[in-house]
Amino acid sequence: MDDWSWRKCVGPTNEFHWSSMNAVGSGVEIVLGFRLPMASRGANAIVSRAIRMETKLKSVLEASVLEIEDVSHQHAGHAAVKGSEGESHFNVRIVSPNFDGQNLVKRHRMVYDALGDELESGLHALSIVAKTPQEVAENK
Amino acid sequence: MRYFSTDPIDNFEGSSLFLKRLVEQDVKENPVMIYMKGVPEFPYCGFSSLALRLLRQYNVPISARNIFEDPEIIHAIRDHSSWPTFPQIFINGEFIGGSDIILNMHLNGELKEKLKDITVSEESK
Repeated sequence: MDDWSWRKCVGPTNEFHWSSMNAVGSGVEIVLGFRLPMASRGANAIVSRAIRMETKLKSVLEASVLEIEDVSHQHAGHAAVKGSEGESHFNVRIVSPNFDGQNLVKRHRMVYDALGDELESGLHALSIVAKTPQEVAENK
Repeated sequence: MRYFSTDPIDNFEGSSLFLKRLVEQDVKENPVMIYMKGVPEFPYCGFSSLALRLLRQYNVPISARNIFEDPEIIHAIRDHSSWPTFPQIFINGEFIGGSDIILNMHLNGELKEKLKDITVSEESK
């Protein structure tokens, strides 16, 4: 397991880890003891994908605002259809100057291009809100 | 509402070409074509469900194909649109986007404009 990946992540999954960890004052292995092995693996897969997505989007699209929310649980009925471990559906809100002059289809393609590896490895769906800094300022 | 069923095809030589042609035909012959997860009566994904619900508000003939019926067709559709996720919506042969984009176009009036020349034929009523 990659310790760093889940330490850095934010969100409900990680809060669970942290509170569990603080409660027992111990390391990852103890935390895992509270959960079924399958659930633990799934949770850590979510964490690492979210972080990989964040890194890629920030570097490729020079995002000034980037919010990534895992909503795989809302799609649990089919999230595992293609063998992913539950880290399949995300909401992404991204503000980037690179979107300037690009229509929605092009903006979404830019996000998909940046996340090509993730889409190849079980990321099924993204809900994308893609705006330029100017649009945000104008509250469009 | 028309719904097409894709019989899974054995991996014989040429099946990918067959599916490529099938997608081209779908998109060409159906003014509103949606590739979705699940069937229209039972969408398997909230995004597919949302896109379909929006399109249905315009009283236009909608054609749908379930991408899970034949996993190979997923590749054929992706090759056609260069778009990785589903649903995918085509209007008059033009790739429109997924559920986010359809929702956006619904809200800003662009979808109405795109669909205005498409009428319900007697056959599909």
